[in-house]
Amino acid sequence: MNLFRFALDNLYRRPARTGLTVSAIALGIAAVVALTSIAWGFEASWQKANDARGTDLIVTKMTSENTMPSPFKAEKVQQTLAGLPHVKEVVGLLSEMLTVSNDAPPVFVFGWVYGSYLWEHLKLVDGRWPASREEPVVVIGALAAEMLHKKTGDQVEIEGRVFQVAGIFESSAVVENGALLMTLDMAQQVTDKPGKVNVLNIKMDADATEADLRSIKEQVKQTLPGFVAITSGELVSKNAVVRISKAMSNATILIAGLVGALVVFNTMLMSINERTREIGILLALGWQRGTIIKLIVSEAVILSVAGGVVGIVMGVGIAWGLEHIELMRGKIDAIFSMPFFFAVMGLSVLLGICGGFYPAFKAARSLPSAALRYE
Amino acid sequence: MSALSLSTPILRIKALNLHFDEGRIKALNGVDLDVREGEFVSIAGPSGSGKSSLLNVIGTLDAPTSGELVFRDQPYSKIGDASLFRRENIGFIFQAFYLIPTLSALDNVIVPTIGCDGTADEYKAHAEALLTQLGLRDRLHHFPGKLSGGERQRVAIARSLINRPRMILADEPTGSLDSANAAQVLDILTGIVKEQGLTLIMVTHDATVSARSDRIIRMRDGKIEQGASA
Amino acid sequence: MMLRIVAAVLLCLLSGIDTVYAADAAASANAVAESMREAIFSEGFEARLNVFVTRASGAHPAPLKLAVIGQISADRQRLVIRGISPEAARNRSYAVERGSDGRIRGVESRAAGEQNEFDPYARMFDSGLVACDMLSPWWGWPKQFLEGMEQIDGRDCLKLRSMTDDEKSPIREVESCVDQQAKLSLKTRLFDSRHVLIRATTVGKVMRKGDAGTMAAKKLTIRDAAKMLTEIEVYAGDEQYEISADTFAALDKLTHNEQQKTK
Repeated sequence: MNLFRFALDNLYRRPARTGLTVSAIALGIAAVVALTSIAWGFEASWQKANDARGTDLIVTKMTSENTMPSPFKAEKVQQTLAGLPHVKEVVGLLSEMLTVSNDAPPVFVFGWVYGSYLWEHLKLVDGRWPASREEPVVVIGALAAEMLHKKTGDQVEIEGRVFQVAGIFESSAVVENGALLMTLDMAQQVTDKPGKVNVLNIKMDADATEADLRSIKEQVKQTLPGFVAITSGELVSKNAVVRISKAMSNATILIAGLVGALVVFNTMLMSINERTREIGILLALGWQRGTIIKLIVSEAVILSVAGGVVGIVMGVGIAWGLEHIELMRGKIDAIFSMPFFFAVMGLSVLLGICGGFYPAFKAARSLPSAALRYE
Repeated sequence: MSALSLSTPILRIKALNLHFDEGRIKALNGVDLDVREGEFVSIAGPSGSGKSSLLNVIGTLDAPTSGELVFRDQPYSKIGDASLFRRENIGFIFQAFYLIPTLSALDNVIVPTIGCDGTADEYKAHAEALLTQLGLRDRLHHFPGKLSGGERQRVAIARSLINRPRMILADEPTGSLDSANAAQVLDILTGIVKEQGLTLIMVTHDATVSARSDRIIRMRDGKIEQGASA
Repeated sequence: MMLRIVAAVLLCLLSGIDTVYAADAAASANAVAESMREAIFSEGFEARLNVFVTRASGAHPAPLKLAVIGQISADRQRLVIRGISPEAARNRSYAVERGSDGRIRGVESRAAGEQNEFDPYARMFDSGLVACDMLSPWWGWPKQFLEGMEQIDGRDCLKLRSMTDDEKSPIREVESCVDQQAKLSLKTRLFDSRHVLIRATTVGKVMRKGDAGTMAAKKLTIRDAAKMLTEIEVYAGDEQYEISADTFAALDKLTHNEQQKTK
């Protein structure tokens, strides 16, 4: 028999209350885990898409905060950029979220410059790539193919135009796996944006250094008013959806933290009120006030840790479930890591300590004789 | 003159007052009492006479309003940590046993050692030895609900002894037992107290119990009527 | 007698204050209307819309996808509303123009180059969409009145009543509730000459316009007198749309034909 076992036993002998408290904490932690992993995953997925393409810098309109930056005329900007030192390739990209089937939620439609380096990181699993700049075909990500029930040779209607599916590809980024891909010329035609792109991707040559990247950023700032050159990470962190999802996850952490601590607080306060006489006995038997505090805080921490473990399992389950529902497929890629789980467990322990401290202090302050007389 | 009366006092009480409700209730009203090392003192008196209050003050469960208490030359007023003082010097036995229902007899005995410096094995061995001495060898892992009243009180006696106190304070320990069980518990308790040279202060209504003590103190209205000194 | 003179002077003064106040209110109402008119100035824009119609019978025709292309300046406002899908709407477009004389004209184009004049106050694509509403001509009407503040979905807006005596206009009176910061009317109710409600448009979601601080409607609902409900969602847009020579070709042709006739 030690303090931990005694604390565990105290919780065990009130199964209903313990169960309810653990459930309440678990729900809060599950929300934190699911939302945070999705917010991070969303950011990571976009960054992965940009990194996988081998893009060193992205040039876009300064005020763009939407999922994809607003379109602009590429030609002049592209020429200016191509003339900068160590710039190997400048390629445009056009993207829109479009409904291509009434039975499926909107998907990303990307237009990439035909024959550019952007295509190189994709793995063709069926069919072929577009054969020319103007060929009205699409290749579709494996996940999008599954969601839209399309295979090579089928047809899809995009903004009133019919395209043949030339092939199916796979990408390491879930955003691309859930997308439809066509040449930039076709994307410009279909979205009625001739000559326009959302972003320009810059690939630097092998000799380029960090200093060269910084220099290009500076030159863009000076020579192309209204435009900004940023790394993929910077672009993603500016993205409104990423920012909103991160803000939501932070708000959830705060709310779940407060609710969790209050639940533990309430439970422990009720528990010590019920156990007033028992605490009196323990004090009479020579327990020091510090030991009483340790007991109550231990019980609170055990509750919150149990809630944390159950919450993590639930949160992972929720994120997994959301990844697989039709509406969200291909758009989120929740990421989990051991440091994240440790942080969540840390949060749980903190909830226990915060919620348990006052009840513990109150219990330790009780006068043994009064506690023994308590009915 | 007995050997006991020659031994040094373990507890000296002078002009002890315990008032509640801004002095309107005088639970203890000028109590003077000396208790010698190894003495068995019983406290008798009608309900509300201040017996349990006196026990609580001696056991540091209540702080006196005024007066002087000295335990083995240490004034109570100089005790820094009352819990530590209780743990090291005093064992409590209550009429209602106050065992923790979800812990086995053995674990109930070990409870007071939680937070102490010794090893778990050491305390477990000591608790087993005490329960064996109290005739509960085959009841170690029984829960209080499965024990008779007498057995429960024996577990409580073992619990009061686990930290090797110098003084046992018992508040009507046989009050909830039938006469046969009461006699058995009393035999065991007095036997151990005598064997280990402990001081026992027991509150009791039962004349047959108090008859076995070295000294009977009679209280009324918060005062000692009889038996204040050895 | 003295009392009568004092009363007459007071009355005179009060009516004077009232006149001044009314003049001020009208001036600021006109200023709000003017700022709303200017807010939609654009050298070229394109917005693509998902349109869901619920007829009075509860029936839902196939969802529509439309593109709205526009060029708006102080003296000329032109729009093209082009069908993207489904098949029936494709290759069908409506072009509408409001010139400096305030006259609104429209041309309907169908597949195979077939073009006809159409009533800009009529429904398009069998939905609640009306080309004239998109031009919001009432911001240019001379009678504008402020009617206090209101809150719609937690957003403060200024109630404005616009009126016209133009007998050619089926719409004679418009009630708007303008979010002045966003330069957006959150609720618009159109009435005929007998003050019978023709249509009501309510903004659901708003979105920030790319480069300006103003807002545009992302989702809006049109409910008309025939109880048809039209829900509109803007799913894509381009605020720097490049107007090509043939974007408003149908309108140019109409102008050309009219000029030929007058000659």
